[in-house]
Amino acid sequence: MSLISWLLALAGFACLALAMEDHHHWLVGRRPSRRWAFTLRLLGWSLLALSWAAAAASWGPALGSIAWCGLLSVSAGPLVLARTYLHPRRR
Amino acid sequence: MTQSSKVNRTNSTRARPVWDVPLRVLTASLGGYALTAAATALLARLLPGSPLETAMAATTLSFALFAGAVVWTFGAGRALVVTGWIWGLALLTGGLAWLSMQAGWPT
Amino acid sequence: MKGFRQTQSALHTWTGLLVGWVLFLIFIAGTVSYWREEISRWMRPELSVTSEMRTPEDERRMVEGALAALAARAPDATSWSITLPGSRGVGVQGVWTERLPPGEPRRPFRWPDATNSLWVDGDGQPVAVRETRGGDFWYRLHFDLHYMPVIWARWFVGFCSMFMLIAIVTGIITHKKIFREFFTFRPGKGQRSWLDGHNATAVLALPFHLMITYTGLVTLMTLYMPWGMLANFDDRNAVFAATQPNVPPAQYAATPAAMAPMGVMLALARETWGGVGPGSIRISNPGDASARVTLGRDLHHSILDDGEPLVFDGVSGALLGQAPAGGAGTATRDAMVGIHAGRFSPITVRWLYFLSGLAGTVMVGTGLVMWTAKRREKLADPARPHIGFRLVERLNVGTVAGLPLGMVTMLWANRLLPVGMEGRWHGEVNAMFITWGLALAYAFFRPPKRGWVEQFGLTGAALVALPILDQLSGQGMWQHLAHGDATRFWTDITLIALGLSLAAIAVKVHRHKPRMAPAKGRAPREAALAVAGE
Repeated sequence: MSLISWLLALAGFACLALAMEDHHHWLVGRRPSRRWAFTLRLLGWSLLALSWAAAAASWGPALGSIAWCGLLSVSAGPLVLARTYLHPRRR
Repeated sequence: MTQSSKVNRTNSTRARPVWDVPLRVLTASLGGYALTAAATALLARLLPGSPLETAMAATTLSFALFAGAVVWTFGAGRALVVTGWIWGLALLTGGLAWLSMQAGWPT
Repeated sequence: MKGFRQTQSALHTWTGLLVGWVLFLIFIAGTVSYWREEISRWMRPELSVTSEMRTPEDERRMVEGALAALAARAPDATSWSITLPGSRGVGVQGVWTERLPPGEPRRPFRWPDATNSLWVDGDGQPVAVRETRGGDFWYRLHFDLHYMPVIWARWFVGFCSMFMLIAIVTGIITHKKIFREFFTFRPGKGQRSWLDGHNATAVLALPFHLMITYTGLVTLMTLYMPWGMLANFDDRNAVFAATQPNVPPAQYAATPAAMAPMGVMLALARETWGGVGPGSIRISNPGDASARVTLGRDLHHSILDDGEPLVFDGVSGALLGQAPAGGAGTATRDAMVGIHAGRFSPITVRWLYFLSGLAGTVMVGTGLVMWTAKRREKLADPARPHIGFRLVERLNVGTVAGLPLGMVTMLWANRLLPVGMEGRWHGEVNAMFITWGLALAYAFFRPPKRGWVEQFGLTGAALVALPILDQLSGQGMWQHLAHGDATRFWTDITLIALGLSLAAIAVKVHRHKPRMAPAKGRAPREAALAVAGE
């Protein structure tokens, strides 16, 4: 369950990052349309919420919330590294 | 960040008096602590619940009050005005807490 | 609102710098303290995996063993304290306070050492263990510092924590941009990279930083902010009394009496606490008709940092009183303290705590380096920076790289100092501070860049060499695997991983070359930067 929570957080952050112009441009090679950015943002936040729910399910709401804060850091970290050191081929 | 602040400082219309920063530092530290202490005491008196519980609740809140007071002191437009506010509020809340302790109400 | 943001920026810079070095110490000591029990195990290799406490049966055997050992060693003590290992530690420690002749002034407090404490292994037998504070030293260093009265230290640490809280709040206000630049890190770009590193570690673990700073203040809140308590109580003692079992103190009777069996009290305590055993046992006037036994709950099982003490009559074994049930206020407080210390956390959450703490340590470190990185470009003559700049630069090297070196030296001292040495734990601690002092002094004699490389490199090498030393002395990872001691095995792996990371940083700093400036006029400055160590 903790792994699921982490994966959900990773996916959520990835969506949030893609909703940002810079990062979208880096991956896809163009800026996101306004509607697409909004969808990504909504999706990102929902995934983060689901990630919290998964953490709460595995550790209980109190401990789960604390663990979730840590999981957020640990899931955003790889994204920062990927954004820094990976250079995707643009279409 | 520093560069932009440099620009702004030279462009600033009103030069700040020499005592501006020292006064804010004093107000933020001593005044901020005094206000927090007085407000914590008053909250401990006024919150509903047993003496221990209200005192605990008020004290756990206190550091947020302190941080708020410091940010306000440095963010406010004029140093003298905010000094007046901080110390005035400290006296007011402290006085009320003192009155409540003297009157034994509400216990 | 621009003016507001700028004053907040200045506030952030200067509050950060003023207390940065102390905060670095607080952060690093607090972070390693999440492995307090594991470090203690590492530092007491005499206690093996067979001294873990797994069942109530283990608990009874080990506690009774400790009581027998204490009765043999210090029959006429004022008090005995027994610390149980919980789920992560090994062995049971018994500490006693000598009874002084009436009229003699109280002796100053002593930490458990070879003259006032003993250890019992898993069979309940006394075992000779080298004198060390183990992981407890860094835990105490985190808020009591060292070489000074604890009350001063705690005020000082509280002062720095308040600065930290303000630095975080103002950091959020000033750097709203950090949220826009989320997920961004630009390495090899000088000041920009430091800023990104600072922001990344700050933002990634922001909930943790806010939580840890605030709850840290709350752990000592009645010291820092007693006014709410004093508004409702006559004095501090009255507050303390309101949280403790209402049992009047017993006068020493000077009449020997047989003690009630401990097993019964342990069983009753376990029942009262819903299946959780005790973490600490304190017996006042042991072996006397006035004996009292106080059991405190093991804190590793619930977020609430509340021992819920039970007081028993030591002779009859009757329950005399228990702590009053707390309300919402005390529960909030206990929860905040519990979340700060993380005693309850299972191993995955503990790793998250540790990594977040490391992020905080890196945040403070990069913040300190940034102060110089930002200012170097504006120096009038970069080849000869002014005295304040140099001071900050060298203090950064001596603290951010020198303190970890000192800490590793303490681990080495734990292995190398003679086992029977008098005042041994003081020797370990002195080794740490002397090394740190030397590192600081050394930093002033080397160009900063060399200083970074050498000190990080040495720390990394010293960390990696520790498990090798253990292996050569015949008590290494191979043996841990063979004995099924997962804790010791993974501790060694972690030491190696940390050492390799520090070595990698050293190599990175060593290879770093400042980019050559395109304009001619900038060339001397770039050359000067190389001299200055950028």
